Amino acid sequence: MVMINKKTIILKVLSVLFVVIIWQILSSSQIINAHFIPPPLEIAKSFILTIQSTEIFKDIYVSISRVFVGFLMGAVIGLIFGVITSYSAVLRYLLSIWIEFIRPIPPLAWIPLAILWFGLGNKSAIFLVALGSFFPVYSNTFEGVIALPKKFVDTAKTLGADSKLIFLEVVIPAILPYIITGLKIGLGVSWMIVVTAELVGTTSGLGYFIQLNRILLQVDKVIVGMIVIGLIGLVMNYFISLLEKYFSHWKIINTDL
Amino acid sequence: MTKTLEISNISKSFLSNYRRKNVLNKVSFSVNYGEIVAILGPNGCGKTTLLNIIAGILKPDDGSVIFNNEEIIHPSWQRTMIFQELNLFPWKTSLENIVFGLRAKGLPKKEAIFLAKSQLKLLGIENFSNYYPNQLSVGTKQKVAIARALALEPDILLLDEPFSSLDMQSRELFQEDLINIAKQRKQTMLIVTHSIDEALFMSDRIIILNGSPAKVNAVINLAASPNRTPRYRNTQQFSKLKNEIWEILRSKD
Ligand SMILES: Nc1ncnc2c1ncn2[C@@H]1O[C@H](COP(=O)(O)OP(=O)(O)OP(=O)(O)O)[C@@H](O)[C@H]1O
Ligand SMILES: [Mg+2]
Repeated sequence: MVMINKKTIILKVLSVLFVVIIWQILSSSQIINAHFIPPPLEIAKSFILTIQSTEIFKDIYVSISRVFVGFLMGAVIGLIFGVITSYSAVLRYLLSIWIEFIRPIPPLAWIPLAILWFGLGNKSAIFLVALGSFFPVYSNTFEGVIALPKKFVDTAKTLGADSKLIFLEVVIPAILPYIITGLKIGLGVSWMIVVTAELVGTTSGLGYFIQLNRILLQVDKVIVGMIVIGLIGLVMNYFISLLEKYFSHWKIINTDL
Repeated sequence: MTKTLEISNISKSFLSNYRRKNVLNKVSFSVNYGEIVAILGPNGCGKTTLLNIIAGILKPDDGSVIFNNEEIIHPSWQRTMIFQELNLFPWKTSLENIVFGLRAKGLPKKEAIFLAKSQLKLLGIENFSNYYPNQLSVGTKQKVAIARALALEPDILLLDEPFSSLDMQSRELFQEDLINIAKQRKQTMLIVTHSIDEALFMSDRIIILNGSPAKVNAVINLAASPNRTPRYRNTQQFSKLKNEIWEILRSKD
């Protein structure tokens, strides 16, 4: 994990400024058509207006709560399946054929079925998010348990540990980094899915916000919506990274030395 | 003298690449209370396999391991082991690694922490209490692993080439440290090694394991337990014994 230092921040800020300034110059000199994509200053103005009118906060809230519920469901089920299939070979083969078959079907291909089953709205979106976040959490958990070195369990046994202590202090810490990787990927996927699902299957949320403004021909607001989606994704990723840092600090220390 | 560990006719084979490979062939010996026994054998002869069987994490194909008059079935802290690769838990600090062992043995947390700290001090590594294994030098890791096992005060301590990754000087210093602690506590130990010097310096008795599959080829009683000061390594007695062992190893090859 790269430490946040001055140099990286400066580089990032420079990169953003560079692109925005060039873009503004190209727009002002009318090389870029404003109907195609509005200039940054106009987007900034629209951004402030949108925030001030607070209309977007309801959509943000709706999208985030859909991700929250769907991701939680998908992650918990993925976790349970991951542990079960790594411990029992019989269950592994019974379940894995289905999991491997369903995995390559993009969650978005489920939209028609989701709408058929759950109608337009919350439930559909939550279902799709749960589906999408299940797979990364499942496969990473599975891999973590499989990769757990037998030597650590043996060592714990020669120290006298019972299975409870082994599970809590050997198995869990050893597979936690894998699980967190799964959660990280799963959350990223969830956020993408929720927005996409809202484009077609709902009448609220950030995806709907974009879609509505497209129909109203308000390109600036479409872009504001996209920026908000990107920012929230960044923040989510940041929080998961904190979690990652906390639970696998012993790994991070290793690479920093 | 009373026996604590009695190994009779242990045989073990592994299936690898669809071939059965015999590793141990009817190995028998015993260890008495308070004794330090070395098992000397060349690379790959089955020393780790033998220790794993005694520790209870591997089952022999044949033969029995009797420990304190009972056939062993499970691993136990009373036969704890210092592994060849040490196997410190990378997600635990030095202190936490030792505390884990003591809690596994059944001690309450407070007492475990207290004992772990004094164990770190005993080995002179209290400054590394809060370091993770990845942050430690090989030598310090070695000491943490020793501390974790010693802290349990096992009936017998199994050591699998405990110093093999150290340089010559550190190795001799570590041997002296460990032997002092062991003698003070009358700690029974079974040390696996491929170094004649180590076996001679550390043990009261040397069991030579040799051949493929390996069997006990000779037992050398180092009568009247030697005075293990650094000077002992330079005595005539030491080099004479060393030559004798070389002769045995050569003749059985
Ligand atoms: N789980 C296993 N499966 C197959 N073969 C094994 C297994 N464990 C050990 N062996 C084989 O048994 C033999 C003895 O291995 P072992 O590790 O006990 O030797 P060793 O004397 O400890 O060697 P070293 O000096 O390298 O530590 C080797 O040939 C090894 O390849
Ligand atoms: Mg070995």
